[in-house]
Amino acid sequence: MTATMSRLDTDGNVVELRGVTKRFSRRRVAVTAVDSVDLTIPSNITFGLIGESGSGKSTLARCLLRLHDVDAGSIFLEGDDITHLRRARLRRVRRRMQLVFQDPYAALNPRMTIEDSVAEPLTELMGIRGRALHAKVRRAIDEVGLAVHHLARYPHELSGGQCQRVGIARALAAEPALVVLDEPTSALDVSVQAQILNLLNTLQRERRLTYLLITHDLDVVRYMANVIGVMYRGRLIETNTAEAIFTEPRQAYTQTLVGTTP
Amino acid sequence: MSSLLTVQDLCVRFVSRRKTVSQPLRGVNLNLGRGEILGIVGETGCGKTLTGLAILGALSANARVSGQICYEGQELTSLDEQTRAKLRGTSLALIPQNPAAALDPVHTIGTQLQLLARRHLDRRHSAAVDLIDSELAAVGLTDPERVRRSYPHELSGGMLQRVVIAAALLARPRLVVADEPTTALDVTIERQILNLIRDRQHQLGVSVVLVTHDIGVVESTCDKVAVLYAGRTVEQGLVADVLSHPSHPYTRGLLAALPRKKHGDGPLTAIPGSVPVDTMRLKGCAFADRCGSVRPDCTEGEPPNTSVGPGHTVECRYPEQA
Repeated sequence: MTATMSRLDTDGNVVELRGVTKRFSRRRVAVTAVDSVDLTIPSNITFGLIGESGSGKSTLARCLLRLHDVDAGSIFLEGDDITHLRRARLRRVRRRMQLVFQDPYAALNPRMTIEDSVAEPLTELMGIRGRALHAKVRRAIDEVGLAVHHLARYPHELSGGQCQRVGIARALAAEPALVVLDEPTSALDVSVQAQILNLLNTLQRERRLTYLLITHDLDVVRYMANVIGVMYRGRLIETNTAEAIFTEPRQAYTQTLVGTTP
Repeated sequence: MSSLLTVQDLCVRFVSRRKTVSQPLRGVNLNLGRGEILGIVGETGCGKTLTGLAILGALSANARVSGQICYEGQELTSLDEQTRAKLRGTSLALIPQNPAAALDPVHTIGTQLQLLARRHLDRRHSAAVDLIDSELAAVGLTDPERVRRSYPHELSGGMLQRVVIAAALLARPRLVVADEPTTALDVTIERQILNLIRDRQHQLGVSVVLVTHDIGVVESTCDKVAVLYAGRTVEQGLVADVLSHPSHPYTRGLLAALPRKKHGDGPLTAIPGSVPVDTMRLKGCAFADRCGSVRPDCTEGEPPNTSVGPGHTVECRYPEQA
């Protein structure tokens, strides 16, 4: 583990956010996209983040992944304060948190073979090359239920579900502690969604992964998440176990939200 | 209820420049009465959107259509393009999947709706404005004047969806094809838009073909359902019958794959494999290679169309009996 980072004893919590605030200004009008969010994600659970479009779910995740700089607050990953890390130190932290995207086609480089796509994070983040790389890519692809003959293919030759498997293989290749799943199945058919959700659950069990699942599909979040946080206008207004959010929602907004499953 | 639209054995083939033939539709049957909402459901690549386009007569020029599309007793497939173009927008209309892409970004909503009013209703400017405003208000846009003056990028996704619904209904069509009208929206807005479609459908007595991949949407919104697989209708009937007594293994698979379970309830039931891409080579039942209850003779000859209840038919050699 890298030294020189300030540490916090987070009781084995993978993520700890304290007062995270992010503002955007457009034409001199400031919008507080994320407003003083405190959030704790224990190890080996799935934390579901729900809320309508524009409520700040994705911005919060992007702050956590250090894709946005926060305006206030602190971000701890496995006890390390990563709020203000730069360059090489930030790169070292990147492999411990990875992202699975909503649109599996858009997330893959159309001019790279599946093999190169899966190899990229291994080389870039872990410095693995040569024969070891070759073996690791094969293992990664096998773990997500794809076959060796898929390696030479390009994204457009695969189905949406297969592309999402590649996206998962890429995210898991660098052995992260935290995986952010941003609407991972909303572009897929229910039949394929079921395959991907089952795969994510199996991988979580086998590798003791921690997931932050962003979705607006209430069935998906109820099935996948142990704990659910509800965002509304930039604030985390309610956090509870998944069952409690659905059976005894406390906030008025949560009540309207969970009452709207089509 | 008398039929407004009957589709029988609809097939669509495409012949490419290299003379390779594909046949994405191989026998679609639909039956839609006046004032009904029919859901067309199936996975990506089953031919749902293509069926909608075939009804509208909006397929590309290299499409070869066979079978019958009978609308108000009129056989649409034998009409010339000019007559079909006249039907589109007036009698038949489309609610597109992606309203932001369907609207022109460089013209205001008002300009675009006026173009429709002039073309389909022959309304001059001032008369058209009143009509447009009342239609925008009817789809729940509280400030029609502001909406008319807006460009598409100035409105939210939910508002744009309302605008294209208003555009589709402007000329009071009798049949509307809604192609995945809520796929891009989040749950609360999705619910509102589906309710709106149902309310307007009820008020105007219009019939709707609702294309969706979400069987939950069919359950909450439609009267009838047709399940498409690999370009064929494999099961159809009233929503109440089909979803409570699904007879085709594919329909059962789609229902079982819904994540309607609590956390820790065990794995979901996925349908293994994927939709066949090349339907030309299929022998027998197209679903046989993904079917959990397949038997040896399923791959010999096409499965028979069996009636399993009033108006409830299924294309399977061994259907689940209700």
